Amino acid sequence: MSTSTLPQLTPKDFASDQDVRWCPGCGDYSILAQAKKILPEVGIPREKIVFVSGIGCSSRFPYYVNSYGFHSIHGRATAIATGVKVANPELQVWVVTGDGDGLSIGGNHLLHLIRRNLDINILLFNNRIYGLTKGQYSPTSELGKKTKSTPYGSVDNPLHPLSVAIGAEATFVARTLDVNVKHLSETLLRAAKHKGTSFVEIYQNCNVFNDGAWEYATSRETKDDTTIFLEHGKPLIFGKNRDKGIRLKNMEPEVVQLGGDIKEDDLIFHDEKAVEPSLAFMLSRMRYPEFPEPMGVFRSVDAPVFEDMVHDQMRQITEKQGKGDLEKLLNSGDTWVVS
Amino acid sequence: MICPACKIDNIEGVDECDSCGEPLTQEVPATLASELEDSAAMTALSDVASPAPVKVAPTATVSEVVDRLIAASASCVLVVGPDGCLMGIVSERDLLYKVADRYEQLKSSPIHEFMTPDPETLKPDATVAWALNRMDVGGFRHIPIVENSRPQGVVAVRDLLAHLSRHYMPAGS
Repeated sequence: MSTSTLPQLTPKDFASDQDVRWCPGCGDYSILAQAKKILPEVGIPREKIVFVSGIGCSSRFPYYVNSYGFHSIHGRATAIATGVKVANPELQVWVVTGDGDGLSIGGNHLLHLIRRNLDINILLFNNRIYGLTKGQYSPTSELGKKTKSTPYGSVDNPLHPLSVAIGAEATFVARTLDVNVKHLSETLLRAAKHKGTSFVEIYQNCNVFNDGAWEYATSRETKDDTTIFLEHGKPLIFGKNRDKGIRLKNMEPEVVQLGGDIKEDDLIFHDEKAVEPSLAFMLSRMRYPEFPEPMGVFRSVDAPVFEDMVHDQMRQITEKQGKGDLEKLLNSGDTWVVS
Repeated sequence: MICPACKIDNIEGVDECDSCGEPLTQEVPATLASELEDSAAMTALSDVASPAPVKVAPTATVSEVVDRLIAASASCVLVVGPDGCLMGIVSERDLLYKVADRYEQLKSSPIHEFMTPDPETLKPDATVAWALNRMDVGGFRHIPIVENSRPQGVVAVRDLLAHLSRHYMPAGS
């Protein structure tokens, strides 16, 4: 008897026949290329992968991946993805959203997907601007930001996506950058393999409407001192010469110089498996210029996933009460005829 | 070589784009961005800006600045301190709004009293598209090009218009 094996897919198999319509030089190209690169490694056939997006530049993503896709409505990708996953848990579901679509228009739906812990991968492209509508301030735009909709500078406190995700107790939380393609692909792969909601914030440059928003974190001259790469079980060390670290002082993080009295053992050791999310939340609040901004996996814990629980419950109730009758349900209780 | 996807220039011979990771060893469908879009998003200001801006000291008088503007057919001057760092900009609009009706009275006053201090600046590698956005948001027509606090040039809306009009191809042409 012969055994059939699935053909090994390549990144090219995930390229669609659609022309990519992002601005030349946009950071989205990098994220698309890395997604296509890791999808074959995930080992799920194309017909079992769905990309769901809302509205915005990032939300054109499903057109460019040769899988199932849904370019849906503004801010509602998370709600639609929830329905897709619950209806068919065998699908691998990705949500592609931006800082405006995901945190403003869709902020509410995002929280509920995360707290329910559906096995869905959320990629939030954060460029700190509304790019598709030509440069209005977004929920992640910094205080004082001058844009077409804030000509005298924004007075809104920005949201910090990872703080929001950890606040809703996301089981997998990570941050990466569009220009660090190796770290980006590793992070996407880990997100894909996590069972439960994976939330990945990607620092993405909009070279037309918010150029250089992440320059401090990406420039060769500054990035070693402005970012810190998290490794599970390792101390928080950073700097061009890897001579600086983060330690706790009175429950607050502080930057310290290694050497002299301060040893590596005095520093915070990263624990992405910590069930209590406080350490991850503290890391998400470390922001430039006071702190180096953490990159990598903040949190990766196991927890029951929503769709499994929904289907288990349905199975148990069906065993007890028999299969339901939708027609009967619709006509039960108070019904009336509109003439 | 130029990545056909993101348009970043890569070292010759690399297998994949250093910026976006797109494979460079196989034929990649060309982007559909128009020449106008490409040129706006990828052209550096150093290629379009005036490399020799008119520079004056903060102590230069209003009448000296006006004379320099006329002589150079320029529409702004950069005010540069003794250390070579940019202090401000004086555009035709500054002179019109702050000086014009009192020219005789103010022509001997130092120009730093009328300049726009600490103007928004861009680096030489900033793009045409980004400069257009900043002019649109800020409502100004000149942006000094600065590297390490030293002015390297100035880009005027006229420079951008000239660049874009050279790359503009009406649909169907």
